Amino acid sequence: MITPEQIDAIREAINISAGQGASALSSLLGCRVNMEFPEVKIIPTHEAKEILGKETERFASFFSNFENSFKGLILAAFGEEEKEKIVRLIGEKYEISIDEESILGEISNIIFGAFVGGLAEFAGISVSFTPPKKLENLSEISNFEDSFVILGEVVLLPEIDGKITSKIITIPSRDSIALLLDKLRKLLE
Amino acid sequence: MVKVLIVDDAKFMRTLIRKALEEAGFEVVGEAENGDQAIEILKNTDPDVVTLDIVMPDKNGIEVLREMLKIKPNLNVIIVSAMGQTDIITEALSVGAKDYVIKPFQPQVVVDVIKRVLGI
Repeated sequence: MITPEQIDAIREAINISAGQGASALSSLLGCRVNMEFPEVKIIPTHEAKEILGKETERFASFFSNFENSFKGLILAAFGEEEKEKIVRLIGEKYEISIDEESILGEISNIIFGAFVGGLAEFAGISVSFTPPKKLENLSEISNFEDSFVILGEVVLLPEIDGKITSKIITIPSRDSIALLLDKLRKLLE
Repeated sequence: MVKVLIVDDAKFMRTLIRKALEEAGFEVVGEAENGDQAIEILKNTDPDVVTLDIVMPDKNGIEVLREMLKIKPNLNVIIVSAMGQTDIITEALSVGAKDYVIKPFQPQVVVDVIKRVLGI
């Protein structure tokens, strides 16, 4: 059973990690990237699948799996309009012309790297991630072992031609949540 | 004794900061989990320093900073946030924050920054 205090600690870990992701995205795009208050929810697996399903229907999404002692899923989702603006901006800023998938894959890679770096530094957890892959089928990411999952969601708001949104969604495994909470508890001792 | 108000939506982070401050001999006069609560506590206490988060529900830390400085223009506010972008740090400092600590941090860093800001 996860207590409200534990949810609070997990939310803060996601906040810090996503903050690093926002900073990395800001450096890459050359613009300010604001961030909404992170949401953390404990939900049944079928609901998590529905949420991921909706995101993947609406957005171009890239995902990675956490590796090492911390396991789970991280996903970056870009809306159609956002995706076009970001790709255009990167092309103009770096004077390159490469395909959209490569650009968004690399952006996801940079966001995930910063996210993982923040998590590792904050909680002292050894964590890495697989290379980001474009999500083609929901079944690639929805093989959850547990009946309930903890889903963390953060909206990033790069200020390009007005505010646009992209999302980071993460679903750590149950063991990884236990590890994270143990590390965070030790910080308070 | 240095009096500090801690403003952060995360109880975990407030506890971490409180622990570091109390170990350093500071007095925590209040904890707030959002901007409105922080303003109320500020009006009823007289902190020497406020540690203030940026990403919070309802009002963000920059808005709260503006409100705080309207009430107490000389207040020492130190931003403690995961948002480490130069643009955001510059805005916070130009609004009137005295310093900026980026999360994650070693708890002693907050103590050191407070001492530096207060010149002690």
